[in-house]
Amino acid sequence: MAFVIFGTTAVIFAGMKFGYQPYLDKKIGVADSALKRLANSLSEEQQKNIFNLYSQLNNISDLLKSRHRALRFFDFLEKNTLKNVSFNSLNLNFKGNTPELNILGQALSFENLAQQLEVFKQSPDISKVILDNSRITEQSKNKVVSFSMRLVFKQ
Amino acid sequence: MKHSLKRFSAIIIALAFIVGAIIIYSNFIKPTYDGIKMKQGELAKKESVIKEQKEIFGKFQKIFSTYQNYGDVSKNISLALPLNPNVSEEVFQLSSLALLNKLDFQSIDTKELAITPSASQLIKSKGTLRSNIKLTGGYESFKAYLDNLETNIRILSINSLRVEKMTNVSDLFNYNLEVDVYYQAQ
Repeated sequence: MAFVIFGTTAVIFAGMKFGYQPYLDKKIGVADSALKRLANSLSEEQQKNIFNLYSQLNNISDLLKSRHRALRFFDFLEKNTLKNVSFNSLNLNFKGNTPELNILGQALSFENLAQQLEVFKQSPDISKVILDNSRITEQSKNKVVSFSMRLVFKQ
Repeated sequence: MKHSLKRFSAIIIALAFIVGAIIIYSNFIKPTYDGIKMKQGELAKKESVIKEQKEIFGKFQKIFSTYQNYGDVSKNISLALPLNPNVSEEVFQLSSLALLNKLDFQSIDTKELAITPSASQLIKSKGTLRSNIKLTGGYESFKAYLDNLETNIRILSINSLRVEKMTNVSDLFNYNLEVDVYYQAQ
């Protein structure tokens, strides 16, 4: 039994040392010469140009996937704003993981404001609607409801 | 007596074989195995570089045969992602698009951000120029300006924007935009 264990370890060692290791060395040599052949098939200038171009194309593809587009948020507001609600200021921010739109605006009544919040809430594009504050203010001798709200969009 | 001596010798020999097996394992098999693991890693890395380079060369041979000329391809791609920051061109594009859309281009502040390192050896890092732009004008003009920016040949991304009603003029607005424009670092 002890001899079998000894014999097996010796055979494993011999197989690794004289069989698999030289085989790997040979494969690495083949890979090295293939890399050399590839490098020699183009001039240094051509290689530099190709890598620049390849890198540019990859970077362009990444940037096109990750860049932010703002116009769609204006289209969203145009489609989803009630006629008795208007906005004085919009602040769109992409810095977090999800786009967030801060809105300062006015509604003719609290009922209009509630309806507007409901319209935003029902939109499939929005993940969260937060009303930060709302109060009655006077504008051109008329009483209106001034509000501040945040819309958190889905990515 | 003779029998027990024989048995004792057999035990000693068996122990010697086991100790020998342990010595072979710890002194020879383990270091050889570690060396093999390293070589396997080296080989896999080289094979993946060869595969990637062959793919790249193949793709570019196709591109060059389509466009006939490397210069044209490179020039067109560099319009989208230049090989240097090219600040003057960026300012010119952003301001002339504003002018084209009848917006009042009031100011632009530009700074170069730290270069984003690339994850791959074959892909160069990206540089970013961050600009803060102030504009005034009508709502439709601003939307057209945004559309132009988003379809501009030089790739840019809008980080934030602020729209505020001008207090004295009802249909004009102030706009603040933070825009990132990119280039490929060399």
